[in-house]
Amino acid sequence: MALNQTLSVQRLDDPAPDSPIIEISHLQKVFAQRKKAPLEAVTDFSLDVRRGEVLGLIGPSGCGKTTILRMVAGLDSPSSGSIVVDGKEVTGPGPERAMVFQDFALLPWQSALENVVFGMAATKLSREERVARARAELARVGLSGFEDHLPKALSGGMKQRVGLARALAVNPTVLLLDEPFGALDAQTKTLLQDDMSATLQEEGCTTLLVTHDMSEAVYLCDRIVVLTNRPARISQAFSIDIPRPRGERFRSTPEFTELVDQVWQELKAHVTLSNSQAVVEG
Amino acid sequence: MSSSIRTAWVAFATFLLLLAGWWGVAAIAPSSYLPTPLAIFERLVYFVVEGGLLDDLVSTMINIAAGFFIAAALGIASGLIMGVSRLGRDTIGFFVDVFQSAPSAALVPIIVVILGFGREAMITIVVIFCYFIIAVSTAAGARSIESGLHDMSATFGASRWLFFRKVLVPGSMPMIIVGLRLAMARAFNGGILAELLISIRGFGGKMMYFGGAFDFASLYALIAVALVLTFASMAVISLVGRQLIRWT
Ligand SMILES: Nc1ncnc2c1ncn2[C@@H]1O[C@H](COP(=O)(O)OP(=O)(O)O)[C@@H](O)[C@H]1O
Ligand SMILES: [Mg+2]
Repeated sequence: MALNQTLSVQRLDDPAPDSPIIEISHLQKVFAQRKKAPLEAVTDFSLDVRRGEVLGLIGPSGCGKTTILRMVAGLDSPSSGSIVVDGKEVTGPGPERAMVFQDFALLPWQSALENVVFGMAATKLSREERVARARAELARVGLSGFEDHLPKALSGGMKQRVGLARALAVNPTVLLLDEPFGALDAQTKTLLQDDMSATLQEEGCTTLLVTHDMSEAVYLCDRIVVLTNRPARISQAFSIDIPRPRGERFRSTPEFTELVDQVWQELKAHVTLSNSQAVVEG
Repeated sequence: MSSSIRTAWVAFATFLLLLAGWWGVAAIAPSSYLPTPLAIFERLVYFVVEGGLLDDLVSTMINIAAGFFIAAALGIASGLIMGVSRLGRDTIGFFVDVFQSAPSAALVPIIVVILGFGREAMITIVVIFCYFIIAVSTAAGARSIESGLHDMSATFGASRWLFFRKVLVPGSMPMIIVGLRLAMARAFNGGILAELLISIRGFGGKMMYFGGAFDFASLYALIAVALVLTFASMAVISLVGRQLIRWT
């Protein structure tokens, strides 16, 4: 019973209930396809995200999570509906939004340092300032001494740390994370989640975390939105009213297990459905 | 490294084997069109000592180098445009597709009519021989850049110029080098063919001369020189190229 309370009670330490920083209303995305019926990836998706909130988007694979995130990033435009970030309608990429990619998206021919510097392309900083900030961000994600390494000389976890440093270096208001640990092994993933938890706390930036990992969502997020099968809609939202950062011990509490299970119970129906749908389509 | 040393040894052994086979045949059944390797080698030494070949060689190499560099500039530029722009693909790309398989040598009379029998015509022929392969492989290189890097550049607001310098050019580089390497072989072909067809001058002219005089040992010696120079030029491109793509 106590658990249900944790889930439902709204945060009391909320800052003045100001207007949300991300307002997504009635978002829809339909992909035109050659020689096939148009594919609706997202339908009637509405969501407000508070300033500083870490919001998890979780759903079956192929349901439309990346599509939503790409639209918030301004890489794709909605078929209908709107996305407003910090009072401005999103019409393309912008410096107040930074993204971390599942496959890292590092330039293989540039050093870790230069990759982070590249991310500051749209800022007004001088070259010296960019380099100094890139060094500082790399140090913060634990990569001091690896500035001159090419991506191929870095492990997967280190590559994603570079990706994170690159995103944080622009001081974004909104951090967009697309399965940032999806390509990593379980141990590296756990380590990075701990670091991410601390970093998100320090930075205080509003975060959209796309994941298919329930424990990752429960560990890192203030709120978890479970999506349906494609086309993605909101199936259920869970608030997790446990102060962040939660500390690694949190993973071994019964509370954690219970929360993960609750998310899973919600997600399960869609995952099974999506598998059978895949079989029918295949 | 050890694997490339092995490759070199196997290649060298194959070469020796072929040479031995040739020698055997030439010794058993002597004929004017199959001189022994020794006879060819003697001609080679003679040319080197006497130095009569040098002017012709330099003249031909100038055509080849000029044509190659012009083709490289044009091919890389148009390849990059084809690689990133739909319009570029539909215009230049279409042109390249149609003309890359056209028999280049058949264009020689037209070129001669327009440019005469001088160096300009021969350089133009070299350009035509190498341009297409450079353009096509550069375009393939540009298209091979992962869409994730395009997305990343867009999210972080990279300007077109920055994208060009830091993403497009380095990302296309491996295929540009492949194209240049293949083009180098074609440049030698084109340069010598131009002289054979247009004017009895330069290295190609000398080949024509010895061929006409049935001096096949000299002809083979010249072919050997051309092959060695081609191979060496390609090796230089590989070596320089490897330095440029150390990140792979
Ligand atoms: N550019 C596109 N064109 C056509 N279909 C697409 C495109 N991008 C994504 N899709 C489809 O939209 C659906 C949702 O994709 P995505 O958002 O990547 O799912 P996920 O939730 O796994 O991130 C998938 O079925 C995918 O095949
Ligand atoms: Mg995805």
